[in-house]
Amino acid sequence: MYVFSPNAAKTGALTVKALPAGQNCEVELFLGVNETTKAVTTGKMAFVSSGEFQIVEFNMMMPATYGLYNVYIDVYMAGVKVAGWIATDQVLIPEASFGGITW
Amino acid sequence: MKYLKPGVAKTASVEMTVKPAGETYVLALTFAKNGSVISQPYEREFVGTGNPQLVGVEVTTPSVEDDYHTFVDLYLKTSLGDVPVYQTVQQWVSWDVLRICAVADSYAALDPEVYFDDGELPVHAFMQGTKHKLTVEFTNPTTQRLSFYVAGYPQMQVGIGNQDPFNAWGFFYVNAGARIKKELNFYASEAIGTPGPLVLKISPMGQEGLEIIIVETTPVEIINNPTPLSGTIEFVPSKTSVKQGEAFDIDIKITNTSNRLGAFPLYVMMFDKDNEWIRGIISSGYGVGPGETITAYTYIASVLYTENGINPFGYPPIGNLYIRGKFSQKDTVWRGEKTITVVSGTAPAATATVSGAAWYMPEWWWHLKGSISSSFVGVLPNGDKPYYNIYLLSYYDPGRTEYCGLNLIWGEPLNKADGAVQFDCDLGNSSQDGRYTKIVILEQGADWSIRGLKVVNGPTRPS
Repeated sequence: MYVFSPNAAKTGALTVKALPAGQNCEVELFLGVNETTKAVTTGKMAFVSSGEFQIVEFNMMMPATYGLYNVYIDVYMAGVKVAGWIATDQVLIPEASFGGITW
Repeated sequence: MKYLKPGVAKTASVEMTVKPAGETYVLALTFAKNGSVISQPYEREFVGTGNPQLVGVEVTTPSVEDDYHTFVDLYLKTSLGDVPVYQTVQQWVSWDVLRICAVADSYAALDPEVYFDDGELPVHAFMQGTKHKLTVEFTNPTTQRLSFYVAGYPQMQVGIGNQDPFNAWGFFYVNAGARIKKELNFYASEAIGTPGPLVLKISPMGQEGLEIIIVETTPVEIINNPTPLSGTIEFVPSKTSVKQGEAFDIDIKITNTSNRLGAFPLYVMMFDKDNEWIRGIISSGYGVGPGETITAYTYIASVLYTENGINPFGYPPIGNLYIRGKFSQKDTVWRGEKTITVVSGTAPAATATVSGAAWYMPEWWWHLKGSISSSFVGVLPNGDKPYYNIYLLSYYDPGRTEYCGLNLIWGEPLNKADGAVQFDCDLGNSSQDGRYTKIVILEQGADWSIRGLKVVNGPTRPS
């Protein structure tokens, strides 16, 4: 499990392999408590499949609210979703609110 | 605002709710000035409950007397290191000002009382224009002199059109250790509504911007006053029959017969026997409280003696002299009138001669240079030591009553009854070519009333 600050800007890299080679592909990484609710997402990032494992770098702003988020990765080829994974590590976003100081 | 002594150990209890529960967090508290941290972080580890909890942090207050804010940072401890729950740029800031001062304990002991004397009215609801009292009472427990003032609404209405909703009631001072009980009278505004609270601010003397205690009342409400404004104006002259050349005084009194403040402009004017306007006496604003009578103004008047009907300032001839006034605004008008009779009198005894006068025309304007010797024998109307200005009037013709010009030739009062002045004046370039000149010696009071006149012939202007 990863623990990140609320609203933290993070940079990452994911490794993906798509066949056949030479196809226009897209990959999207998003955080959510389930697959249908995207708390934050990288959006679809384009790449051309090499037929081998290749690295796609991304930037992402962490969610602002407290929660334990799953990490989802979807791959598209020619606009059609061809694969989807759930990362084994989740992301925890802690939260705090303050009421005041008594001296 | 919280007051703390400089350089002392204190425990700050921070109320917070953190999630997830059961984890270990680090709370870091710092003091800041103008947005910048000026102290080391004071840290405390604790386990979050997921519910509101108090976390105590031991700190040492800043050593310099000043106002500070407090920054709070929070980290979640993990096996990979501390994760900021609030990053540096997102610090939680306590907006309560923390004032570090050596006499903090004394300030904390200040406990002023502020209360209204509302009579039978509900607390903090005043009828339009009614008179009320605010009392401020407290003991100054410090070793320095304190000032305080009250600001807010309704304001003390003594002027006209003074609708500023935040009108400070001056500064009052309380010596060290002394107790003060200050009663402040004020009138409710005419503006119906709930404009806001009255605010008491207490500060060290000379540091009025450094407010150590601020007390706000609940918002004041102004409610409709069904009683219409009513009142009278009365003129009380010292004499009702005056001779030409004689002085008299008029007290202008305003009486408010209603239960609300009358604060309007007062206009008083003088008219002659033919109801021709002579002059304005006063045009100024006054405030008269419910049931009160004030002497708004005392007008020191005089009836100018005229020689041969020459009356250069339009002063009244023999007959009735009317003093009329009104105190009004919009639909409210209080009027008053008084008639004074002017009877024939004699000129003030005075002599004046003009000597050494010489006309000359250096370029294209007429010029007169010479001296005036005057001698007044103390019989001017009011008997006071008179002040005189010397004027010169030039006329087209000695037989005509109008004048073609009034030339001030000596602007500074002589401040003596007898004396001589040199004059050197331009008379302009009138093509009328005056043939006759008179020297007019006038007493001039502070209100420009003219109490005496002596006309002497000047040299005939050459053609």
